[in-house]
Amino acid sequence: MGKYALRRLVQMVPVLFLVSIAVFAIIHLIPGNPAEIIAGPNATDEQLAALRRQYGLDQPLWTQYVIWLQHVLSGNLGYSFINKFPVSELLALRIPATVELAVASAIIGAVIALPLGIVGALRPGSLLDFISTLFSALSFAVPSFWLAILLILLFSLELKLLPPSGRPDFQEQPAEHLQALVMPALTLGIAMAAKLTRYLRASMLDVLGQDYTRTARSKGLAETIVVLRHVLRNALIPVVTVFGLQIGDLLSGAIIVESIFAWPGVGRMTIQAIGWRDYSLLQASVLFIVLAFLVVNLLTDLTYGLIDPRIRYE
Amino acid sequence: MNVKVWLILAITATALVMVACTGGAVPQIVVKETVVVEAAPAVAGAEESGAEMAPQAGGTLNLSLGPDFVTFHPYFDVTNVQFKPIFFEAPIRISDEGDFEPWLAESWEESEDGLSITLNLRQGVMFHNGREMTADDVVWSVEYAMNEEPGHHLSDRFQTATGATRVDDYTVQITYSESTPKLDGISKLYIFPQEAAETIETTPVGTGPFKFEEWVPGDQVVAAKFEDYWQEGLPYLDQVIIKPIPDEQSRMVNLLAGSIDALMGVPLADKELLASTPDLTVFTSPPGFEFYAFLVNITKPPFDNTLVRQALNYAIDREKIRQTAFHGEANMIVEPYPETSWAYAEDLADYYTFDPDRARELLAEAGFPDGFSATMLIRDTSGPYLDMAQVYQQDLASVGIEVELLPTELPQYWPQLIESQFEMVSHGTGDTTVDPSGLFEGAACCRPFRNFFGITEDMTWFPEYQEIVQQAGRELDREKRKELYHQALEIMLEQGWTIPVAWRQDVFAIKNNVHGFRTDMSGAIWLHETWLSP
Repeated sequence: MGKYALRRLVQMVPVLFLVSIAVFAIIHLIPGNPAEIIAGPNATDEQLAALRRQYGLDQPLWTQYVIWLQHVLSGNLGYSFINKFPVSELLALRIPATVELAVASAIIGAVIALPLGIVGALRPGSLLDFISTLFSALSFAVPSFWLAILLILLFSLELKLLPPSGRPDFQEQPAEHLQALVMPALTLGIAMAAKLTRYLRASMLDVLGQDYTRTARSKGLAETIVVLRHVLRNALIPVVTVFGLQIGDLLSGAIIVESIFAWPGVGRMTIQAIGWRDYSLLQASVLFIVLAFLVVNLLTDLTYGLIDPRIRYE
Repeated sequence: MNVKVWLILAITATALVMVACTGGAVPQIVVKETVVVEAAPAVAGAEESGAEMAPQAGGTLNLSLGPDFVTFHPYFDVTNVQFKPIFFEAPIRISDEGDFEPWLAESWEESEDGLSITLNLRQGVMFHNGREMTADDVVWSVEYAMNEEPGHHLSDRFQTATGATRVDDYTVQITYSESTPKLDGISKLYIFPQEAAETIETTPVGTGPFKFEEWVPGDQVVAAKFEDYWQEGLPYLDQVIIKPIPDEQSRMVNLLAGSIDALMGVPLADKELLASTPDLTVFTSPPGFEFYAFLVNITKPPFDNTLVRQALNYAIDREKIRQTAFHGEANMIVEPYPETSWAYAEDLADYYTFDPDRARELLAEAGFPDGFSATMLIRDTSGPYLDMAQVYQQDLASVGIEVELLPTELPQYWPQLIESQFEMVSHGTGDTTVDPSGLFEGAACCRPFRNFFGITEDMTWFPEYQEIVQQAGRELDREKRKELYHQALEIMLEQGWTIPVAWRQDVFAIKNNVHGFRTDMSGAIWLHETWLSP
């Protein structure tokens, strides 16, 4: 499995390279450029030209790409056209916030989904199942921004328990930091759980109807062991797939939640970079997102190997 | 089965009860009286409490301006331009009365011929990096401002400047090639030390009451009290924290929850809500500089026809726009000067009234008895420009003009606007200047290098108008200038190139324990006398 993982990691490189070309081409094809935006409507032609020169935008496209590639290979991701911060610093600021939120949301999602999904499958048609289904349906139907605002109204305005937005530094204010994490993670976690619950329930029902489940029960094994060791493990594979995709999604930035809670994550930064045509930042941002997805994909595949011994990688 | 049915009924009943009990606030269109324009800018505080409270030192002010910062360079106007007086100062500043008053300069003299101005600087003004500001710094600043290479916006205002010389340690003379209004440019000549110029975009260093501590993009800007500020005993605050909050609703919530103390850029729709909150006070910045307007491209028929343009001016129902697009909260205008400006022409205030019949008459006279169709470029895909355009679209439809709206995202909007690729456009215009000349040049045509009407430099277009405006800029006597601007206004209104709609006014809200929060006519924030009561 180690060799397999290594091979996959190596394969990522050409993928990233091709993606970087595609992204570079696309963002430069969109009308507008950072020089025009910074210059604004009242700038003279000379001011505009000066800014373009500064940003290297007067070079042909492929020259700009090659320059960028050279910089990246020597470890320099460049500077944001807009706020002049080094891109690597900006990413270093935002990525931990996004990862933290993704992990917290995933945990909440799993913690909610597992019991609800299992119970729903074990006692289909019961009251508990009904509640589980109701929860899923409601969570699907409710838009995330609405839920977010509801939570803010309740916990920040009414109860005054949690801060409405922001992300205080963990080292300086650990308690406030964790408090600020609660609502965004809850919003995203509930949305994740909605889907996961359904998948888990359906998958488990499927496995419960299999012959080997009946065999396990007839062997006299305790119900708990049957469910957890045999049924659940088999049922988890499609669920892990969905879970992995959801985490990949979160790592590309939960833009709405980041906006409402002013959570300084990668998603909002990317959207802003698009609006400002911040080429260097956008390029690096998108590459990070692609990389994150590739890594999560790999981890998901490796997890199959852990869950199901029948799956082996050469 | 039974349990499920009961559960469904129970939940439905609960939901219905909750909806009923929330006392559904049915939004009503409240017809408001025309807002009286207040000339005094907002120095917000607890004046009405009667008791003269003495300012207390200490405390942290949490402030939100809305979007995040892009650059701290004081010569660029990109986002959050209001913050500048927190870190930077200029020789003069805009006074409460809408004129100029001494600031880093104790006094100034303009020469008789208008070709130079001498600034007498204060002594003992310190930069944040520890050294004293002298005439050399101002000379360097002027030269930097004149330089177009960096691409900053201040070079516009120093177009006619030819240089600056140091007369002595604290006296500077700036010379110009022609007599033009100078004070607006000087009020934006924020002085910063030459050695800080390299990093000024990310690290502001100036003479202002607060010293830059850190900027975490997307998170916050922290500024601490500058101990060696030139005004004794000021500032009162220990710290100012500026938080960018991208989502509008989120800003409101933060204010209501108390995690910020002051919010700039309150959406008009929420003004009422905030005003009725007990521990908040809401202010509107005075009108005067920027206004919303519809513009037409006079190189594209039928907009090259004066009668058509006049018809457009008669067709607009400003009151309806005020009620719907601005939630009853705007000062509508016909001429581009506020009542507080000395160039305001009272006799021209009602040049155009809402008169659709007259509009139809004019259209028929111009040869369009059945109207025509056109497109309107809209600045941004949401917001006041789109809202007012939608109302105007209806107005125009009722006089026979079919307009297709084209809401456009800003990065695509600017190039189209600058290259005059539009027939009509919903835009804002005006320039943030105290002197009427800036407003004129931005609003109408005569910027030689940039205009939105499809006019090129070598086209002699309305030479009479151009002549008057330029002369008014060169003239030194205020009465003569007023007369000239009156003439120019008459031409501008008669020609109808611009259809002014309403002033762009900032609404801001502060908690009642914040005192001495000052904004000036340009919307800039002055915190040097701000203090917090417990």
